[in-house]
Amino acid sequence: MDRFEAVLRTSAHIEQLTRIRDLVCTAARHTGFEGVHMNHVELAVEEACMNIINHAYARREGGYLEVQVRSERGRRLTIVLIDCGQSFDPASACTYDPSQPLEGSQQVGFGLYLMRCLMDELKFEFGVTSSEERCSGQPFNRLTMVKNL
Amino acid sequence: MTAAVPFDAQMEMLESPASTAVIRTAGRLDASTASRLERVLTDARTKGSRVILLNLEGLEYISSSGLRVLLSARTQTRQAGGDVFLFALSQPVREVFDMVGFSAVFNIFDTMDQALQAASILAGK
Repeated sequence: MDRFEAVLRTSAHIEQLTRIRDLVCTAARHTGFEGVHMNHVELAVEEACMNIINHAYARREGGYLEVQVRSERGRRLTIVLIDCGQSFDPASACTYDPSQPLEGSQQVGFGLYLMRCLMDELKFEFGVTSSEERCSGQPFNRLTMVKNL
Repeated sequence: MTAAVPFDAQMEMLESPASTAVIRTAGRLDASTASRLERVLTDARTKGSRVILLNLEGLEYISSSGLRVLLSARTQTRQAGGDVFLFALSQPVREVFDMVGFSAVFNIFDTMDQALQAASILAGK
């Protein structure tokens, strides 16, 4: 099977979004995504990165962010984001409900909601790092997102 | 690969209807550009715009950062007795709006003429 794999190790900073997007788009094109589906992948990754920047690291600069992409041409794209910030529990996160009035607290949770709409699978994991995960023995978050062609 | 269009937001104050601004947007409204639109929207309100018409024809991408800016602008203008009207949404932006339910929240028009008509009615109240 024709595969493409790449890893980007960078910092969780808004200025890195373009590099991250370029890597993910390269992998998505390899899979065979185009047009609106490419837009979906870009959007889900931006939302995931911004959750890491704003919540896991509370906008502190310099936090570790690793982006892994794995493409199987004609089948699926897997994107893994690893950070060493505050643990994230999707079950306790604010959940956006588009059927509710868009006022007050309803203004949060767009990002996670969009990620769920745009990707076929989302898996959130939290654990203690192994040496490969570059978090210096700190706990880490791992988000795995899958989109099938 | 097509290069992304840089984000741009240009404001024009209208003589008629009074207290109305038109903001034309283009490019990607994402986490790195949302604050620029926020500044333009704040500038429009500071200059006395009660009604803001947003031309989204050239906007090719919007993320939750952009959605929050639009929602905040709508809330603030409505609190002042005005509103934010959107028109000419591109297909990718319309899709995101539909996903998060914004299509049922914002007043959205196909053309600027339709948005201007709604602004005139609001300005006359």
